[in-house]
Amino acid sequence: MIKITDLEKYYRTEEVQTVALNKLSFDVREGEFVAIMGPSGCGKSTLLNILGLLDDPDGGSFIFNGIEVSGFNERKRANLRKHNIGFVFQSFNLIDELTVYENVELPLIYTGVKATDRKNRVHEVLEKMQIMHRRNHFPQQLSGGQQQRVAVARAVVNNPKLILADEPTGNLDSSNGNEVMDLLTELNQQGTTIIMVTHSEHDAKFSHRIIRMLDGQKVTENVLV
Amino acid sequence: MLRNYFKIAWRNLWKKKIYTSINILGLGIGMACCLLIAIYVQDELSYDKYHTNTNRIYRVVHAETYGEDLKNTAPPAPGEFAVWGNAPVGPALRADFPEVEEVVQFSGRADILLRYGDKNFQEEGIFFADAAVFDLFSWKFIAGNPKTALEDPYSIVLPESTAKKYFGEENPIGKTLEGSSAPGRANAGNYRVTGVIEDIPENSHFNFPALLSMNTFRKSREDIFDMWGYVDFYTYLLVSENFSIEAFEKKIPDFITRRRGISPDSKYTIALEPLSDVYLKSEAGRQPGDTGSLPNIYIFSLIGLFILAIACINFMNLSTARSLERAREVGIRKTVGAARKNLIFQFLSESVLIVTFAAFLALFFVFIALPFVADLTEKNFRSVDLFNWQSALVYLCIIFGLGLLSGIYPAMVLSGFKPALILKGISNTHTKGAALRKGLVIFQFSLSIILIIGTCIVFTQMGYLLDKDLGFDREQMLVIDYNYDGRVNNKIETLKNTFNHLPEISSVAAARTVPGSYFPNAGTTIESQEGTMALNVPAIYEVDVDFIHHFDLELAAGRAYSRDFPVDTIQSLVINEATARLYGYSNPGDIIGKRFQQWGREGKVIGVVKDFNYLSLHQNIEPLTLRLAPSECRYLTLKVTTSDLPAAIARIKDVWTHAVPHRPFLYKFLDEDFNRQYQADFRFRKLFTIFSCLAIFIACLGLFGLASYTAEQRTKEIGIRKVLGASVTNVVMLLSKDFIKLVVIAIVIASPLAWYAMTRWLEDFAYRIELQWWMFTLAGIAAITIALLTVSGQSIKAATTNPVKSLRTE
Ligand SMILES: Nc1ncnc2c1ncn2[C@@H]1O[C@H](COP(=O)(O)OP(=O)(O)O)[C@@H](O)[C@H]1O
Ligand SMILES: [Mg+2]
Repeated sequence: MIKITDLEKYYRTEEVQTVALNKLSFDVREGEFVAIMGPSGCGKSTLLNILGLLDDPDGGSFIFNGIEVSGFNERKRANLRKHNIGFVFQSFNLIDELTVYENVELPLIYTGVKATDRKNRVHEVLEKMQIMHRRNHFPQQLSGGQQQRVAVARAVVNNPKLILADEPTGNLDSSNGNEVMDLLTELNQQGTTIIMVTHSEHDAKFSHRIIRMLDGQKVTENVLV
Repeated sequence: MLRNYFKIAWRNLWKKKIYTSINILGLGIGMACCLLIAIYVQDELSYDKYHTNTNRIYRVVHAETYGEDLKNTAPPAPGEFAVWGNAPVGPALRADFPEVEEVVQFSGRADILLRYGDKNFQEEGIFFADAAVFDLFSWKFIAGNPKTALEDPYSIVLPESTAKKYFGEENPIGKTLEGSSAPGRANAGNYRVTGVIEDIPENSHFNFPALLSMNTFRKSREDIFDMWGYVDFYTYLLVSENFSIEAFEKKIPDFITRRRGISPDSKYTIALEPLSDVYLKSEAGRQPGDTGSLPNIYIFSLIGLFILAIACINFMNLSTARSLERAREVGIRKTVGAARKNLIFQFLSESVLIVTFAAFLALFFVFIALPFVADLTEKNFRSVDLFNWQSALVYLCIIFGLGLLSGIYPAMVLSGFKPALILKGISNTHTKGAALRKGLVIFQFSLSIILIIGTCIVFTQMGYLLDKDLGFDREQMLVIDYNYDGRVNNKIETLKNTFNHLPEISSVAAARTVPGSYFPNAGTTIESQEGTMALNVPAIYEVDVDFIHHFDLELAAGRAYSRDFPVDTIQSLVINEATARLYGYSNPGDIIGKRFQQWGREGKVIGVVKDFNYLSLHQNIEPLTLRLAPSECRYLTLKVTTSDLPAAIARIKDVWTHAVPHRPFLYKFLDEDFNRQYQADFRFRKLFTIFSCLAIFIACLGLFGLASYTAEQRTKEIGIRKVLGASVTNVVMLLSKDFIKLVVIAIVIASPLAWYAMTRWLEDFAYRIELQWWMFTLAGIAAITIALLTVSGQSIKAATTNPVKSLRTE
């Protein structure tokens, strides 16, 4: 499903140029659950942003579903993204001005789903994440674990083929963290491909394969199952 | 989707109340100003457009040059024409040109005492008019026959309000109004009411309390209607559908030669003005009514746009200043699938929402302010006219137009954020818009400062107009208007004596004209230095023997009229310095003793008075002759020396009603009456000041908003600085400095622009102040002070916050 070869990304500030990704290559098959680990600053988030089509690589190739997407303009990327990819972030990134329901509904609005279908779909996902009773609350009124469940609900509401999670448990205590990991595992079992960045060996064990990175490069890859 | 946008827009607005109210208040005031100005401008543009035949009506303007000016062969400038002209030109045009279908002439303005029973009023500004007047002008008849109403001599047509004044609920048709004489036009007589019309619409270039039949005039002075040299008529033409003014004007020279002939002493020509232009565009003199000012329309339209621009800039600046706050939202929306166009649309709907609220607020403001503006501009604006479907359409256009205009830039900026950067928390976005934001603040303040400087200069100039020594005494001069009443003039010397004996009165004089009131011009021949007789047409004041001393006019040469010289009554003439120059005497002394002829009188020039400003200070002092003609007088002027004016007036009234009981006691004060010429200028000053204040207020609202955001954004920095030992003053300076810098730049930009604009404005005054550096400095200091006050509140708040608190927020 994903094939990256010699992927490069630089960040230029006035004086220094940082190499965030340095000729990084690997594949992810459909239905896989991959964990990416590495010390802070090694380029994990950068990688995830590129995989999520939020950012453009400076070199190398990125084939998504058989299509070369590096060099796509923003409009094309946005279009591909909204139908195929869901995101979960460490800091939840919910919109404070929208209710739980409205946050989850948002991706459906942007993909142009009809209002009645939207309602059914959002309810379905909220039930599944067990936050239906909180649907009219605003994010600030929820606990961290609840917020992350809303974020996961929002990520899956469009039935994306791929979910990218950037340290999804980083801001949660262990019981809330485990809940989220269970959700992700369940989604993966239902066929969704998941790529997850994490610092936690414990969380990484939920995946099929761990890719370890250092300074923008892949150092090892261990298959768990 | 749209509902979602409006929902989040609404919540966003609600959450940021200060930001929202600044925007809505600013835009609301801005739009209200614009609407009010638009209403005013629209009214000014609507003058005389209500006649069915507006596009086919033209007005004749006349230009006649004499003396030295004859050598100039260039056609007369627009300002050299006069609307007031002779009678025969009208019928001649009608006879000679098939394209002239109808001619209507007016004569006026006549002030006539009308009486019905015990109702007795002096009606000012009555016109005599041809019977065909209602074929040209669509003044609606309520009663009477428009075709014949003004046919017979001594018929009178009344606007409704005049009719009500005399007849109340009675039917006026067929009733008789006793009218005093209209000197030079008609003898006293009984006028039969033959028609009642609706009141003349306010948007007419002239207005009147009554129309008298021209045949009344003709009956008393038939001869005048054949005199090409006698000026007392306004001539309007109805032309055919396919009339071409260019083609017509080519035929004018032949027409003049054929009809009037060529005179060696003078050169006469006419031109036509379309009716729709006469109110705003006519530069001709001797207008039958008040004219508007096209420059003022431009000035106020521009000010309206300025104010709106300032309000829109507030919106743009505050939106982009808040970009950091909105950036995260943009990032999230993009990751969950928003395309850029979705976001642009979202931000635009937010601005449309704000503008919609502002529009309602603006309507409310206009609703409240309209009566005041109507009062100020002396117009008949009604609030109900605001609410109809045409206006609704206009509002909709404005809302969307403004919403797009002010929203598009912030929308582009905000929607352009890269989600990857934002979600990481790295952002250089606030530096991006900053330069533009500063530019816009400078722009706003430049506009505001131009207006402040303008206000300052307008005030100084108006003060100058009021205080300038005009060369004649205008303090405490009570002017009684007895309207040429022969019975008063017969006993004027006795009356003057009686008044002179009152302790409150130091001197008395009678005259046909006092400064600021109507005066005619008189063909006057004076012997030149070469001994030939030269004809010019200077202004003429008919005065009594005391006039010159009474008004404290200074003599430049010769002597004033005197009772000691019986010759003065028919053979002497006093002129002003400008007249002496007109006839070629640079030294006024040299014209003393020269022969003159004027209106059937021959004799010698005996005195030259120093030039005094008998015209408004918009104009230069023109040649003026002071003719001794006590029996032609209209006004009795009393110099009152007491400060207890009410008592003095009561005394004077007492004496007056005792001496001439038939004559109502109508009085005014000379200075007030003279200053009435500046009414338009005062109105201009008021409106200009109000709009300038509003502009500065809106600009400060924006500055306030920006200052709050800056303070908010820099909370952490301020906290650290304070921990390191910065004092409150240090911090306030730090925060205010940036804004003050912008205002200073704005002053530098605004000063030359204001200098240019105000120089142009001042050109409309023949007597004007010099622009001085202190005016600019004062305006600059005012702007800085206002800006400083606006900003420092926020800065002080930020500076006095406990640093521990602000550091914890990160
Ligand atoms: N917007 C940016 N500008 C400059 N440097 C950046 C930017 N984003 C990331 N970097 C740099 O790129 C490198 C990789 O960062 P990131 O992908 O965030 O690492 P990780 O997520 O593994 O901690 C780091 O050295 C970081 O400092
Ligand atoms: Mg990271």
